[in-house]
Amino acid sequence: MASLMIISILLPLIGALVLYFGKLKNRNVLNIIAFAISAVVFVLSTTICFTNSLRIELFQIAKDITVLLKADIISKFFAVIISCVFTIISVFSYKYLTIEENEKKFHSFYLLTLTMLMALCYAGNLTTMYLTFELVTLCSMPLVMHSRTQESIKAALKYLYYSLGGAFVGLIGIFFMVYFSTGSDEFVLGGFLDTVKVQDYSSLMQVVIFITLIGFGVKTGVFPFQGWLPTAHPVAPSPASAVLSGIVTKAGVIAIIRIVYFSIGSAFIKDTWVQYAWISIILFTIFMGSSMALIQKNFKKRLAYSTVSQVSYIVLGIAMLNEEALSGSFLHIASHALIKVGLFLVAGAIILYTEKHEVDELEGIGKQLPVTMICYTVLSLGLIGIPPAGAFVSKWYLAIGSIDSGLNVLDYLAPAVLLISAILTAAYLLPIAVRAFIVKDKSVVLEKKQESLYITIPLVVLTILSTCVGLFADQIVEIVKNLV
Amino acid sequence: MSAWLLLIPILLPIIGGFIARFFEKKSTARKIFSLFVVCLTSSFVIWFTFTVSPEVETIIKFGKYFSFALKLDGTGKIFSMMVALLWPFALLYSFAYMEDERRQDVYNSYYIMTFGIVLGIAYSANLMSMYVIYEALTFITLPLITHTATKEARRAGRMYLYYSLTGSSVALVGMGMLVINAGTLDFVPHGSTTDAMQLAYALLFFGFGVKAAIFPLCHWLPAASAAPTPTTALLHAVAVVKAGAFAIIRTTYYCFDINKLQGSVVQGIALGFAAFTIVYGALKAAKEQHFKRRLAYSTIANLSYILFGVALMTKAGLIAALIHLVYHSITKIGLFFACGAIIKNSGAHYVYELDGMGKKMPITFTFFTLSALSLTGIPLFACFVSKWYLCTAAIELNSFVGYMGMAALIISSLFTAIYALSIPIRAFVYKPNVISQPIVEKAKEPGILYLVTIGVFAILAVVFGVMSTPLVDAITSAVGGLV
Amino acid sequence: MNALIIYLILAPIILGTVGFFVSKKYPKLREVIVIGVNALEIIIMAILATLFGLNGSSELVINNVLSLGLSFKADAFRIVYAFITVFVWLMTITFSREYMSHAANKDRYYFFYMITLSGVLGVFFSNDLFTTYVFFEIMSIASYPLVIHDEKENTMKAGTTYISISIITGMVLLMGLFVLFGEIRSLSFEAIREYISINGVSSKVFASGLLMLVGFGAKAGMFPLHIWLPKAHPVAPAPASALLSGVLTKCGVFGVIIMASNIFMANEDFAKLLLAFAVITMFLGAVLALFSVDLKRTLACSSMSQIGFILTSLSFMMLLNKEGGIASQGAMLHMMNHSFIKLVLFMCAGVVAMNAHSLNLNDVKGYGRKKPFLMVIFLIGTLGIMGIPFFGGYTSKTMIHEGIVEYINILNEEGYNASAYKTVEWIFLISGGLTIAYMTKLFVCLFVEKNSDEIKQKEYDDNKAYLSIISRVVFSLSAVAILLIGILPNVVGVKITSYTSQFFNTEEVTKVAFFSWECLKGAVISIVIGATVYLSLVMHLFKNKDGRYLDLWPRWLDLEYLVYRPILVQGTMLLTLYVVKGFAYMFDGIIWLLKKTILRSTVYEYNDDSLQHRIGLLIDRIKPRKDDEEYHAKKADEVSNNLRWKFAVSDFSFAMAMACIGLVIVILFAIFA
Repeated sequence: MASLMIISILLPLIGALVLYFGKLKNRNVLNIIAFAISAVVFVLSTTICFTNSLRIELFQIAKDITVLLKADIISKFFAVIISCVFTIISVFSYKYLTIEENEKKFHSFYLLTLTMLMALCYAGNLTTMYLTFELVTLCSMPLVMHSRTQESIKAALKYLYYSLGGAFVGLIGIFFMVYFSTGSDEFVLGGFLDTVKVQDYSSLMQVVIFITLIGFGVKTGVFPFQGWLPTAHPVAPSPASAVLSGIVTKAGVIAIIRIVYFSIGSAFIKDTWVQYAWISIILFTIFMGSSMALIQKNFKKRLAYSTVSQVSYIVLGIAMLNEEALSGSFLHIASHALIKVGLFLVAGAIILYTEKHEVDELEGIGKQLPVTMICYTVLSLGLIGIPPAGAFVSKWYLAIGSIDSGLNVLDYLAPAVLLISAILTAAYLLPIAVRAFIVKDKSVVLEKKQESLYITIPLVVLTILSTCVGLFADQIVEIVKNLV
Repeated sequence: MSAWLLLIPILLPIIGGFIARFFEKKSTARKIFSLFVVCLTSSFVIWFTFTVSPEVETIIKFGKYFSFALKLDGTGKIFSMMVALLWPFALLYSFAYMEDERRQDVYNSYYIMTFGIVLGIAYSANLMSMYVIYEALTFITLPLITHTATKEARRAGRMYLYYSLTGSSVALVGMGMLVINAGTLDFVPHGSTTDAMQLAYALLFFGFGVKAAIFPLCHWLPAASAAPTPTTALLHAVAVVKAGAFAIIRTTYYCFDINKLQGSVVQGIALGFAAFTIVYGALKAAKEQHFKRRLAYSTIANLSYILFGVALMTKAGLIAALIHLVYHSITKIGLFFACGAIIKNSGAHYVYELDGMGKKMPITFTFFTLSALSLTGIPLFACFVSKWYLCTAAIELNSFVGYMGMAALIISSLFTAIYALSIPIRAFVYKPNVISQPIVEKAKEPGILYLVTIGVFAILAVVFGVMSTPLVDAITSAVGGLV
Repeated sequence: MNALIIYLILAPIILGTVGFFVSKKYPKLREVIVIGVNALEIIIMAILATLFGLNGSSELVINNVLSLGLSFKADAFRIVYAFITVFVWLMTITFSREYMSHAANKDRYYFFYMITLSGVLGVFFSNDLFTTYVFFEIMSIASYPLVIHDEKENTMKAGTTYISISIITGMVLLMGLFVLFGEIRSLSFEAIREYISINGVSSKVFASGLLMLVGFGAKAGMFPLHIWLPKAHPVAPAPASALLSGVLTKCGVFGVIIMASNIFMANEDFAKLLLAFAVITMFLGAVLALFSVDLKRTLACSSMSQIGFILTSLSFMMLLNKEGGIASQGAMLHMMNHSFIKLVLFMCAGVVAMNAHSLNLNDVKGYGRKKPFLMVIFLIGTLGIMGIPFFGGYTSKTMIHEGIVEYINILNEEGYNASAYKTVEWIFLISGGLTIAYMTKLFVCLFVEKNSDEIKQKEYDDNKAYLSIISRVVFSLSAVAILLIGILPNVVGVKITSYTSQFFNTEEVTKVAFFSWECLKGAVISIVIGATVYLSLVMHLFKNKDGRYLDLWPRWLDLEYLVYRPILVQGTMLLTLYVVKGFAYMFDGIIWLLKKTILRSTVYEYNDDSLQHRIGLLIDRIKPRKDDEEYHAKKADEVSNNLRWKFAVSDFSFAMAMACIGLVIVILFAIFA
């Protein structure tokens, strides 16, 4: 059964190589291959869901650096979400990429990123996680500079150096964790640190853990290092920025979960200055992300800053170190991935049909692209946290978790910041929806554009899925039952 | 198997180099002969590594303290094996590179002689004999630097000479103090850590440090990039600078007792300088736009990785230093070869002239990317493993300077990413702009000889990145006996 | 049987969406569906009411939806109020068929109309605060498109105020729920009531109460957050504003009732706080209505003041604790009356707006002179709201007044000075008076006075077919509902509200001596005040010589632009622009700075003035050599190939080679010597 994991990693890799080096001219074949592979990977990851936890040791780089794949509850959850979203995006990119050139490269790096993300999900120990974390950056970077303009290359380089810098900082933590581990650095619930050895180094270790969390947090856009998100998104093609902000930010989340719950154990940093400092940075990121999104004029930049704040919701749930908050963050992972990808696909559709990038130009777009903008409205209501959608339930759990966490100031400050950020989210998402459907000057006549099915179907599917995440949230809450 | 045989691999290249001068300048016979000499020496070295037992053999004895002796022990084996495996490829590359250069026979002969001298350093049994051959190395490599006889080359040669001579004299004073205190120059760890001994160690560290390009004394290395690429590739990535590092390893682990020096002031100084050079080299490399000087600065940084490992003065530190010594040589020689091929075939000396050249020289740049990824320390590539061991060794030291060194390592790997990865991105992704347009026109894929040599090292970087257990075990067993 | 509840709540959404898609092809079918749904709902309500009778109750819990589960309950209070909601919905929807006959994008209007209905029903049937909040949000978001229906410039501005207030206060309400859940670990009403009865109101629960008061109060139109009411109603279509003030405000009041009856039952200081806000709302609403010149704006402000009345009676219910039955049933009755009355009044205003195409009192003056039907309906509504005996308003106002008097008597018995509550009673009576004043002002303006210019008056007079037959039926039905509650107070009004005592957690009051002197005294006093205010202020101050109504309310006194916008909009803009932006670009700035200083990329160029070069020159002085490249290259070539041995004596490398050979010879000599 463990071979399932290897297939779900190797298949997109082979697909990527075939697409890159193969001489396929017809763009339909390209897209079908990309779609088929991501669909198969989705099927594989759902089947892996029903098997019990698999474990396979691939090869050994050096004496204590082994590459190990393991499918536990966390990796199954992430694998399903990532592959499902990749399949949906590949449907969208079939229609979208008509306006970009050399599709071959896009699809190959698209599948390569899928490979690395799958490997990251199934990483069984710290070194494999670090290895795949780096490769995710390297493979997703070409997606950003796909249009090969000067600006997009600069943005890609900025993304590369930010992520690599963060990963190297995280590497320090990994060395310390491996050094203080009880033998192997395989992920064990509750952490593998050898408490005796760590005893007299605990203050040093706390500093190191804090630095590691911030290092791996760079990918989730934690406060000082969120600069790459707003620069990378407007220049990347929309499917790429959808992948980048919907999924690749989640790679940072996977790494943080693995470190906090599976390497050092949540007890290590509970109620210590590390947790307080970390949560205050996250809270500032949430507020900063939402308020910066408010003043952005470019539509994708606005969504990028919204990603900065929304992913910090997830990290907040993790940082609270109790069960409700963690189930809240898992719920938000699912709903944010779906909603944010949907919003970027809407942005992509708008660019595809009307080449409009600025928020103020979207006057009366609802009349031109009715289905897209209806989906946009429902998705943005979901993101704000209006009840039936997923983000409401996750906000509920996050708030209750933080109130239960008993940190003296932060337990009530966190829900307040969450709600202020929700209000700001409403302030920067809803006006676009309203302006889309209500045109001020009646004089301009807007002819209805023919939205192709490749655009509307993914959007509708994403909207339905994100509402279902809310309505049937218990399955996801089940996952977290035994984690903390 | 007496140590006399060790003389053969030392003298054979020197004599061969001398004879090679008598062949016709452009004749292929000369090439075949020199290749034969180098391969013969390498086979001798490989044969000795697996057979010769490590007892000391004094060749010449003059005066109570000074004797010229040869011995083959663990670290010597590793260093000689590495040099022996790299030299034939370097020679092949120099044939391809020096095709239409002037006075290539002179260049070729000194190129071979250096091989013998470097092996001499590897096999020397005591500090005195190593010092003598170390001096010979300076003189034998000087003509290789000043080969093109341009103003920069002559200035680089002059700079190289002054730096090396100052370094050697400082090392000589250090050796003098060592002899007075320790009584002998043999490689027998000596116990006391009196202030005099610490001063001796500092002098020796900075004396040999010149060749290992430690911070204040590293300016000759970027200047030496004015030499033809086979020189910079072989000498400034593998032979000369690594000989300096090897000499420091010999002094630290074989002449001084590392347990006594642990935590002493001199260790702090050594670690501090090494850490600073790591960051200095990486920063200067990121700033530098000249292609070869950028790689030269990167060598400065990576050499200080090794010195940092050595200065940790623990068994794990030595192992990590030796691993990085091997892996960095493989990666850096591949990078320099690729860089030489690019300069030779397109005449682009500056990084901004590479925009859009990936189309014209795809294979060279792909190999360059592989080596660059290894240099940055991305997992699945060689230098990641050595960075891993260096950092774990630094944690075991558990001292403030150790953690500063680790931080320096991390900062420098970020800057390595900036200067190393931006080159392939410029080549493959950027569209040729107004400066690089004429140069890209001229560029064409280099000859098969180039590609073979560059490809071998790129693939080696990946192979060692994926499975480096055999080499790590070999190094650990080689070093095992020592501490 | 409890499956019916879910049907009631979900039917409007499902059929609304069906209607939305169907309306493209056959618009007529949509109207049938929409009205059909409402009719069906009324039948179901009737079945529910008869089955349970007004004292039984059935619960329905759907758990693991939204992972905390929704729970509904159908008891007396909820059935009565759901019935009123569906009744108002049916009336307004049939009227809006005519009102919207020529309006644009009707399908959007009907779609959101139905979703708001399900939202409201969800709120009324909810049995725990989580469900209330879920449907509360759905209702407040779905009602936004109803407000901004005609998409004009000032409509959009009013709509923005409406949506931003509902979202912000919704979030504040959610925060209150978090804090409450943090304390009590469950949100169902019974659990809360039981928890409070055991360990009382802790400071955290009080804080959550305040937050929830903000959330519910805003939707009810309570004083500090009332600003959307006078703005949203004039711009919304008449049927929609009938809903907004008739039913949606009652959802807010429902929330306040939940808090009052379950959490703060005997809590002194919460009751006083609510009383303070309620009194201000009551009085301010009446004053605003008096000043306003726009027909719908007067009605909106009057709803605000009537909500003030209800909240006052709720606060007295809390003060009276167990014996607060009179106050709670008074509040309930007043809510019922107010819904029906506002339904009628707003529909009349709709008729006026539909035909006279304006709402300004001066343009519309004398519209209804020749329209007996409209006059009768409007008269019933006005008399109802004025609290004239034999009409609905009177019963509920007297009960509220009785509650106040009862509390004052209790205070006097126990010897506390009840002067504060005396003043509250007087404000109550004065607001009653003001209500009478502004309603007479409306009635006189519409039906008694003549329009200033003759042509318009003539045109109004002979505009006979101003209302279709179906709408007339609707109007008369609603008017009958008002009369029904009013005429036999003890039989109808008090009887219905007595069943709700369990919900209000107060004991039952079945009979009130409505026509005894001290009840009548209250009504008489307010009538007298009303008449004097009308005769003195309205006749002389508000109307100039030739009968034009003046708009005396100062423009700058608008709370929104005076307080809320400066703090919220300018404040956040300032904060984000300077503080947050600085932080956001901090790290990029550092990198930019580094790039400009330390990491500035240097391009190496050979310069001669370096140290090595000078030392070199020093040595060269001993043996001068020319410094040009060509010379050295040529000399090196010539040297290397003229000697047979390929060695040149003066070649530097030759010296090197000889040194090496010397070395080798020395070594050999040392070995063998």
